[in-house]
Amino acid sequence: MFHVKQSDRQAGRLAAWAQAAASLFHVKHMWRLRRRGATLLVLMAGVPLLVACDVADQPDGWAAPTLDPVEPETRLIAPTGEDQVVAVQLLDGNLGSAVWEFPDDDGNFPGLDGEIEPVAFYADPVWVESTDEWLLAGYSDGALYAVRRDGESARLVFDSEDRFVADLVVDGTRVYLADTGYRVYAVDIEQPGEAVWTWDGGSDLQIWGGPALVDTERGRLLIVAGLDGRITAINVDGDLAGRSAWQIEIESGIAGSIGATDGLVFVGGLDRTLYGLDAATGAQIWATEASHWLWGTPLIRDGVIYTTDLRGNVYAIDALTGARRWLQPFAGGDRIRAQPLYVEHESGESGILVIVARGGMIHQLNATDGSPLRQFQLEGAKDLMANAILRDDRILVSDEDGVLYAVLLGANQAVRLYPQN
Amino acid sequence: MDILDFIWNDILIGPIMNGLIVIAHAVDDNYGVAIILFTLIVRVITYPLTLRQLRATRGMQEMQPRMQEIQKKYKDPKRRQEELMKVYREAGFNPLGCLWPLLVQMPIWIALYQVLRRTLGDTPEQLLRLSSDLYDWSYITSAIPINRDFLFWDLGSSSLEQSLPLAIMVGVTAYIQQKVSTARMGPRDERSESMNRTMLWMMPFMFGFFTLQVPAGLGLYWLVTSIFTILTSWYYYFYRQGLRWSWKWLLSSEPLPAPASAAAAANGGTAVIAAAAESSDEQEQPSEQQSERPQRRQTSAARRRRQRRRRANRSR
Repeated sequence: MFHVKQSDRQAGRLAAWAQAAASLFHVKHMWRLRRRGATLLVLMAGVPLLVACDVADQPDGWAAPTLDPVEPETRLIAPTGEDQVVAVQLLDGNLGSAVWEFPDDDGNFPGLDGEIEPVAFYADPVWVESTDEWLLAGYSDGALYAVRRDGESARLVFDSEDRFVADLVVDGTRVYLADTGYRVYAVDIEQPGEAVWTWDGGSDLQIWGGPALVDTERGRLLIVAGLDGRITAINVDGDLAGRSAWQIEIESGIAGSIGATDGLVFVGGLDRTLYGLDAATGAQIWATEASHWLWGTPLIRDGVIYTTDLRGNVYAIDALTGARRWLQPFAGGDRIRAQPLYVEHESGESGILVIVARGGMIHQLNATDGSPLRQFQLEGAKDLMANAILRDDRILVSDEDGVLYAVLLGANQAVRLYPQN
Repeated sequence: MDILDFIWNDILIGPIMNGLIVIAHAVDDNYGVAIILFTLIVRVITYPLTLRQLRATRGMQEMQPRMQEIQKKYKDPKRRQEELMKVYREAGFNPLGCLWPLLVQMPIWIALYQVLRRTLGDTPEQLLRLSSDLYDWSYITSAIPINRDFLFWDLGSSSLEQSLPLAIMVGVTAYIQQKVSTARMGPRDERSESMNRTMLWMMPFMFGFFTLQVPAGLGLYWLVTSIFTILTSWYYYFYRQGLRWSWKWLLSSEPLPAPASAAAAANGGTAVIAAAAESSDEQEQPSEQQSERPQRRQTSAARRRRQRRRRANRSR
């Protein structure tokens, strides 16, 4: 009896399903369904369209252009907007042409097997003298490549499980890398593949800020900070290499890079505070408040820290005491991520501080008192996030599309170096 | 354009984004719980619209006999439409009233999608962009970066392996929601029946598909919304109006047997429409009272007519 009931129930259910299906596809209603189907298709297409509209969310990277140390007058390497790094040969100082591109347009490069897809470079390229190679850390593929300076070939030095945003620290043939999986690796460039040691921070959050290598009375320490707000010192030498020496935590995340000088390290947080810490112990020496998130890399010069916040303020802070020497707020409050650039004055007097704001405004300040000297709007440039570099009397900046500009220091003039159109 | 930008970014996105971060920070930096609480707040705020939708659905059901009659009687579509509109007007019923909760929620969905993309982005550029969207309160800025994990979901990700279980849950709850919200619909004409059946399958499929495309946080919002709507509809139709829940009915295409009140209403003709019109403006009454109300009204009208006739006879 039970089985009969069960089968009846199943039959009834099947019949109901069949009835629903039949009514859905009944010829009589086909035209109506077609119309509804079209509506459904339009709605379904709408969502991918909405997703496609989010192209701005794709990582662009903000690796800075870097002068070729062997031919600084005529050659530099810079990221492009096409997820590549290009070596640019400068002709008559104003025009640039590509010598090589890494990877090439098909995603290949001599010496590397198969297609590579680094997608965006955040870490600045670093030249290694002993091997005459450029070290390039790709964001999406989490790979560290060494590309010969002449562009003849490249090799894979290290492959991480995660991605690279933080700048690299190079010490001889050893490179220290922090990835977005909150791990720090020590890699020997001449022995690629395995890391010499790995430090795992055990966090779901990421490391974006570049580490700093500092000499202390406890030996050399690599200071790293992550988005979880932890600042950790890792031993790099001896038996304790790869183990943490000290660790402290601030109340908010840390996205910017770490600065260091004279046994002190400086860390700016999303809690709008710049901390001065004893490099050997992590003890807080001072803390000074800013108006917004501190993200960029602090510049340290003659005992003064120059740093910027995301509201467009520039601060000069005494490195030993944390006392503010001056503050220069810019009208408009445009975000500043790029590290300030210090330019020696021709007369040997006070230096010039060059500040590159996201929206293309380039400010020149008196480094002694912060007074404005000159400002110039770089027309046509997209977001400027990368650090600027100095070449003779020009500031070289690269926008988020990888377009390279040269801005004359003493005049309100700019030249587009690369690409030409 | 600036006004639209202001309305969109400063009136909608800004408060939602900062509100969510405040809630998340208050509940131990749990963004998933913040999304759930935000959903409940939105549903409570829009509850009057939901209630109107439920009443409109019921009103529609009570008008079905009259509407069927009109459809049989008038073959000319224009005339038929006119007559139907007349019935709607007499009953004080707005056929588009059911759409309001959906229309109100559309901007919230899109805004929430944008908010999730902005707050849960994992590229440096996204966090940098977020800095300009946040209110200048240290309580909010110190809550960044946001913890993206909730249960077994990464709320900012739309990867297939983590979105698929959520999409199935959203689809199933959307089906139950559709089924429960139309539970009170009695016998209808063929066209409405066909449309209802299509919607019954289309909505879960559509929302399931959407969940695969968007960050898991938005899927969580839809899931909680569906559960809330199921509970509201269940309370309204099943608890208050005496419909009997049946698991078998949930999987079948058959309508639920109408309760006594609806059966009585179906025989009430024009009086039912008046009752429906009244019910859309008044507070809800228990089902027995509703079923008796049209009959009582007819009886009292007849009594008044008889009294008038008697008075007229006496005066003669």
